[in-house]
Amino acid sequence: MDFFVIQALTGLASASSLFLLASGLSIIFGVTRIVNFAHGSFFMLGAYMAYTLTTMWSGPLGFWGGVVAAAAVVAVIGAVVEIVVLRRIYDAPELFPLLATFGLALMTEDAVKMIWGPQDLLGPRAPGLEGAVTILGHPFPAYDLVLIVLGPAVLGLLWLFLRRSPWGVLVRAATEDRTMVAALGVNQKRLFTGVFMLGVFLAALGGALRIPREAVHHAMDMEVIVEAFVIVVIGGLGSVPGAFLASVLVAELNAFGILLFPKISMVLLFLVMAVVLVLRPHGLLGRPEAAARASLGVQEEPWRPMGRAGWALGVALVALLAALPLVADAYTLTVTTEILIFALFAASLHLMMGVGGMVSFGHAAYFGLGAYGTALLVRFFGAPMEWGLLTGPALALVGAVVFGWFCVRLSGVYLAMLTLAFAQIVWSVVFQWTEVTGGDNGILGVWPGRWASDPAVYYMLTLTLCAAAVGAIRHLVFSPFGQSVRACRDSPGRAESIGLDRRGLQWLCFVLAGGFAGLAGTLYAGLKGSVFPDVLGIPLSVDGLVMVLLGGLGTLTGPLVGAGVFKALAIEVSSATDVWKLILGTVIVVLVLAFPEGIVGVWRRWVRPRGAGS
Amino acid sequence: MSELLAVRGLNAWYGRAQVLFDIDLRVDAGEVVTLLGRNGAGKTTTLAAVMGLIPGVRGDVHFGGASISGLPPHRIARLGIGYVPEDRRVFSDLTVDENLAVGRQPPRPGAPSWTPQALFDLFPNLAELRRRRAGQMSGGEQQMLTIARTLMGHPSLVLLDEPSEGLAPRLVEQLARALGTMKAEGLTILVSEQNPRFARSLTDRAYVIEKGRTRFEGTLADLDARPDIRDACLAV
Amino acid sequence: MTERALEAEHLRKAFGGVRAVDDVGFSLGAGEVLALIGPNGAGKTTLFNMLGGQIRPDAGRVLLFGRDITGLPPRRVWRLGVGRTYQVTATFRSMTVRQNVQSALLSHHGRAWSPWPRADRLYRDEAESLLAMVGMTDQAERAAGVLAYGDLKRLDLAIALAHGPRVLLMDEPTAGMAPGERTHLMDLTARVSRARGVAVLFTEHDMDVVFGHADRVLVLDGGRLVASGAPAEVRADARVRALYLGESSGEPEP
Repeated sequence: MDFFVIQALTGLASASSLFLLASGLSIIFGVTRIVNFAHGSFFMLGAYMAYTLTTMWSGPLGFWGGVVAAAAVVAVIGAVVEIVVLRRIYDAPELFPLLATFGLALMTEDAVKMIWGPQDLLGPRAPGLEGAVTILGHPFPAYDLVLIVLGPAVLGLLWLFLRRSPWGVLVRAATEDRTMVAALGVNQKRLFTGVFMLGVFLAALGGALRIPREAVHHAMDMEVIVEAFVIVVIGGLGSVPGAFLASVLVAELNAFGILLFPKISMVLLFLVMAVVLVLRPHGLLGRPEAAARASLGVQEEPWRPMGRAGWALGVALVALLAALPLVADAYTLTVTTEILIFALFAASLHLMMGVGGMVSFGHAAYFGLGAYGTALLVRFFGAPMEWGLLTGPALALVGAVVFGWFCVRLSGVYLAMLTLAFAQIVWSVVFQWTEVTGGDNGILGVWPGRWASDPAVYYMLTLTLCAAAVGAIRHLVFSPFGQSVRACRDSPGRAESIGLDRRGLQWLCFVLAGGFAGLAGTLYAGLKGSVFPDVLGIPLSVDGLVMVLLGGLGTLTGPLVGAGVFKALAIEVSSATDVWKLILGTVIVVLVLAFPEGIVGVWRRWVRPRGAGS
Repeated sequence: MSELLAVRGLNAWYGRAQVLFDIDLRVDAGEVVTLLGRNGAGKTTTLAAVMGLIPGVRGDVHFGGASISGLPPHRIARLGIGYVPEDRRVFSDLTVDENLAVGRQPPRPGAPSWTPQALFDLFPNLAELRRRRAGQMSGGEQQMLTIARTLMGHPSLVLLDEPSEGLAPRLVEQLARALGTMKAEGLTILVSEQNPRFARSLTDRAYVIEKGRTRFEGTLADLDARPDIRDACLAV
Repeated sequence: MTERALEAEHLRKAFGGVRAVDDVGFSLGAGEVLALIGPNGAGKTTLFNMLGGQIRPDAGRVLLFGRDITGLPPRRVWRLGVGRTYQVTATFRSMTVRQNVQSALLSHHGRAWSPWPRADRLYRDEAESLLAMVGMTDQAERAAGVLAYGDLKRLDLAIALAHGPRVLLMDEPTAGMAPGERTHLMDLTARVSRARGVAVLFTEHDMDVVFGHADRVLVLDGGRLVASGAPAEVRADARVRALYLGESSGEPEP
């Protein structure tokens, strides 16, 4: 019993730093509508900065001063980022800022490695709080007690600030309707910068406060961003008290989950989140998202099937690709195979996002399930990889059926964050379940049978399957099913009142998209001959988003072009340098700043040379 | 009378579709000008464009003799233009007092200045609801609140987008009286409506727009003499 | 008395302590055109949403030809023969005008899920004739997103009529239309109603439309039904004049 109390207190101590992180994310989203993927990076920067400052300064003043100064320094960095990058793209389609923040996260990771080195760093303990106090006969770290008090204290301060201060009233008003706030004479730019700084300060403080408890390392960002997303989703977007409740819940689940199910503690988290969302689709204390105000000046063209010229072009492209083995060497074929696989991956994401209207931050889950569905078959049954063409997509389908059932109950950002959480759960299961999946060591020897071991043959196999799958997706878009799904996307209320089963249709669309992604993953496993947890990782999900968004959501051609360009670039960059994250991140940020309407948007602007509007 | 707002050759687009074509407007200090037209005629876009809320517009907007084209909305608001949008857009999570606080700006020389007390005299319903969350008020009370909130900025010109839309005829009469008081205080008003019934007695001049173009300019008496325009362009 | 198409009994709905609809009941006969009036915030849209299945009432029942449909999801309500148009028109912007109607027809004919053939080859003629009925034939190939306001309203009506409904719920069908268009649309509605015995319930702010086209009028204020009856009775009702119409209205326009 006593032990449980101690464990619960440990959970509460972790909850405080999670709460700081998540409340910042929630406030930033509330006002700016930006899902700040770089939030974990600011948390990490806070920890590194605090490490440097607290080892430099000594004494209690040095420690606490260092922690607060670290958060302040990072907040200033956040302000610079907001002014230089984000401010230019607030009016871009909602996912573009997300891409930019992801680019920033990539850059930060390499930058941190360059500045502080790749090794784990252990910061100093808080002076005077190094020891333990005895609670119910057990020793308990004194520092953790301080943290336990700090969480509710910050909650109280934030609450007072938002309710009582004039600036807090503005923040709440802007959370509801930022345009109206501007029309009443409030400088929106300054407000946004202030809010972003506040959110970043909270995140960095959360990171800085962690250093006496845990080593600082350069993978912290991705670790905590997922937890932050889960917390914000459980607590309800934009609700600070909700973020607090959910932080406590998640931290306690972690504390006890480790004890009860050491291998699958993440699964427990997922179950709780799933239950919360099914019962309360807007989180514990969240309110339904205001129906997106039809923004003035946005309009969509009707989707039309390709004309004859388009068909001719498509057939010609496939024929050209089919002739490639006649002239190309093995390396070129392997690279082209990889690009084809990612074109299918992007097309499947387009089916989910562009057609189904469901934004996915975790599409890698289905790609990865496809890859592991194949690899596990090879590992445990010794079957050649071709059989995986059945089991890989099948496993992805199963994953999509289960996750999709939950996802279609939500919409918008909640849905997107839930997809990310699911992907991360699959990743952690694969990562932790070493006996079956090999964990970080992956599964090797996933080669196709001898008949397909020649790169040219495997290339042709990939081309055939990818072309067929992309053709099928193309067909589906204009089929009665595809049109019904688009109806649900265009106007959910109207769709239901012409008798369409919105959830059912979207679920099937989700499942099909997952299946196609699984096929891509299967082919990838056979191409590489091995499978590692990376195939389920956030970076891969975001690669998919980059391809689709830069290509343009409104057509299938866009994502295909996006996949080709982006993947070719990524392969080139990653083989040429070891700071490829820094370079890729920079490229993403620059692309988003240069093409805030997507490449298709730019194309439209050229078609309509007048230049105004958009 | 001196020209307060002058709009010349205003063009606006939604995506690739042009929705405003060379709109010209003039509002003199102290006037009440009514912008008439049906839903979708371009009234909301015109007012929002004056306020700087529409990206990519072309044309010239002068306020108090200085160009305000291309300025961000908050700068335009601080120069003395108040904007009351058509769908009320109160901050439903905030109380009446907090809503008013968001609208507060320093007093402006030459513009009528309003205290909360003066606003509660203007809209007596609000006085009893000061601590009520705006989301829990009736549509009519919300409409009063958005106007009061805008007046907290002490504007010299108010843009009112279809203020009577959806109000009970009884409340419409109340609103018209409030507008009369505002005019008497020296406020200049540009109000859009689907028909000239509302604010008929206050209106000095009117414009009719249809499909994004100005179709008529003159007094309401002139408009009454043009049944062709009335029937084709107005929801009367 | 004609057959009762739609009945509401003691419907209630509260949002966060505010009673949006408070004990409202009425009945609508087959082929009858019933107007629902009241200020914004009176609860008209909430009432509509309870009838259409978009909102589940806190208490009370909705009966469709005697069958209890309370709390059924919108698509089930639709299948049972209730069509609906929207105040803020909701059309499918990634489609042409004809494809909008075809979507409803696909659903009606049970083909919404089929993967074959191309969607715009199915039920073309049926879609064309529905568009002809509302006078939109020449705009069939246009993008739904670029339609003028009045045309959107007509398209909305064509979509709502696609499955041959027995009850039609219309939320402010003529808002923003020119007088000629209004009369045309409401005459069309009345014709459909009479020819097919469709019961129509509509909300409206324009008193000329209400008093010119409704068989009966319901008046809602603060979530409660304050009057109902023939247009002339309602117009003369002292309470309605005090609450809603005001003293100067009710007289003919100058």
